[in-house]
Amino acid sequence: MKLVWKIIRQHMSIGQLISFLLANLIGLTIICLALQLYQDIKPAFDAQSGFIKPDYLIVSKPVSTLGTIIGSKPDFSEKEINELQSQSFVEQIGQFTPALYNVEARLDASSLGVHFATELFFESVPDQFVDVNSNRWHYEDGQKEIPIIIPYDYLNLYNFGFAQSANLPTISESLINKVTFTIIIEGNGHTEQFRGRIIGFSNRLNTFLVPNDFIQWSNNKFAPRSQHRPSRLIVQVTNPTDAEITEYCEAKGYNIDQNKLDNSKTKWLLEIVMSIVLTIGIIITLLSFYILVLSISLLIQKSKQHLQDLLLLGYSRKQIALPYNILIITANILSFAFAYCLTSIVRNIYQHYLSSLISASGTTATTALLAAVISLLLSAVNIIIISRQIKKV
Amino acid sequence: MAKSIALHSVIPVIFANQAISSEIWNQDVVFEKGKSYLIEASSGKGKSTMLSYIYAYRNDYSGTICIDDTDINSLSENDIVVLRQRVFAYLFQELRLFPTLTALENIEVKNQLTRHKSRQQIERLLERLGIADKADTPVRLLSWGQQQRVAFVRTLCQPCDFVLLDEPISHIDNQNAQTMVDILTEEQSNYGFGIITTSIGHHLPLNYNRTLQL
Repeated sequence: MKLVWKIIRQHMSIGQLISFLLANLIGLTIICLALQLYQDIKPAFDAQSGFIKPDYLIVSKPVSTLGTIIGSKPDFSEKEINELQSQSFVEQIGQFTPALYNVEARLDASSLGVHFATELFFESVPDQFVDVNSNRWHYEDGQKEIPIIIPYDYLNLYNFGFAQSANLPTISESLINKVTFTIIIEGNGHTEQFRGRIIGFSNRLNTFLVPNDFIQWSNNKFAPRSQHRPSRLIVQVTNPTDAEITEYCEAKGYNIDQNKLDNSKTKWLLEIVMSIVLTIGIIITLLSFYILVLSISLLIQKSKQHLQDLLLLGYSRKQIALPYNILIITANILSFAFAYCLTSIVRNIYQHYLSSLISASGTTATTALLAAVISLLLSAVNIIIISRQIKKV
Repeated sequence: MAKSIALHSVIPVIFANQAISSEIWNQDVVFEKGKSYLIEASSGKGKSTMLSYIYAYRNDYSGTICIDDTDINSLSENDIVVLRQRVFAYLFQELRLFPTLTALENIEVKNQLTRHKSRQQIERLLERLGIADKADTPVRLLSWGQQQRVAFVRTLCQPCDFVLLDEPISHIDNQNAQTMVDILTEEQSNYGFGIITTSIGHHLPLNYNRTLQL
């Protein structure tokens, strides 16, 4: 094989190979960096929304003093929901369904020295709006444990307010996930006890969220004759930056949380910028791939006579293609390795500047895997092209 | 293992409409393993063409060529690779050496594929042919006669049933031609292959079983 390599090497253009390496290195590095940066920055946005996907908005009506006096509730009529549903920026709407019975929660964790009881309320939204693994977020009739998502603010309120003043221990997120509450539900002449387990926190939902199946089941059992109309809607929008959303809600007098909308806009813009950068990276990588294909095709053309001689000496086409394949794989591995190193170096630099925004705990494994897959894919396509050209020799 | 090569009414397409008087073209000819054949013809009669048909790298002919009972046109690409590694050893008229490789490397290109000869055996052959001192010289710097001897040694670096020699001594002196004959005779008695050699007049001084006019 060394001798075959020596025969074909004489026609090789080092300049072309270096051009490929450089172009592929730039392309791959841009792809890796864009992905890595997106991966690193994304949790900063997601952390704000917790278990609710970022392109969902919560729409409610303002509570007016007059409404309070005359006893009207700020809820949505069917007509209003249908009208909102028909807007072009709306993909789907989910309604908040409240529990129509009394709920009491008790925590009696003697090991923590915490004892308290409080009245609560539950609400649910359709499960497709909740971004939690379905294994953890479901309820079957008669199940005694209820998964609950609570607002972050409640935990903060307890830790920084209540716990301080009552001289109680503070509770971390991970610890509270391990604690179960006693939930007592009363209504329709029934009283039943459940265990409540907090599986997560949300900044976007100021409510105690439980699975939709539980609300349906428990409302039927504990408040079978009660009626309700939704006071809040969860809306999936096609594009959170769409000015129409704000205009429509202002015209109708609906409330949407502007900060959260801005957050969604920023994330959406980030995704657009990343997509553009990724596209540029992909184009450069494809161009570099094209350079390699052209360069090796030229090499084969220049070495055609020698390749024919090797075939006549009894070499198989596979044996002749092998040095070219090794060349392709080596070039791709080299550019992958350099691109990965460059990405890691640049990441270290930007992490330093964006330390307040980016968590240092993220890894580069996904990016490395993706870059490896791209390199492998390009190598494979290149090898197929080369093997076709060798067949024509 | 091939015991014979049979040509049945073979004629190059280009000669199809010409009146040709030949002992091979348009005839039935059988070359047997273990025997030596000389094909004589003047220039342009198709000596190299005939060998390229047998070696399965050209097929612009009518008629059939069979190796034992197998039509060579029915061979797969892999079969042809085996054919060139194990059945036919070919000394090309145009030599097909690689100019940037040394004499020894040119021989090794074949020998690495077949592992037929040891380095000592190759060096001994180069010595007998008077080019041992050229072993490490790039072949582009050698004379055509020296290159012919390098190609000759390379031809012997494989197991085979037939050796095809296309004008092997066109640029070689009588003494070296005799050495080539001695080597060929020894190899033939060792391995039992058949020899088909072509000549334009200055032919390899071998004891031929049959001489054919093309």
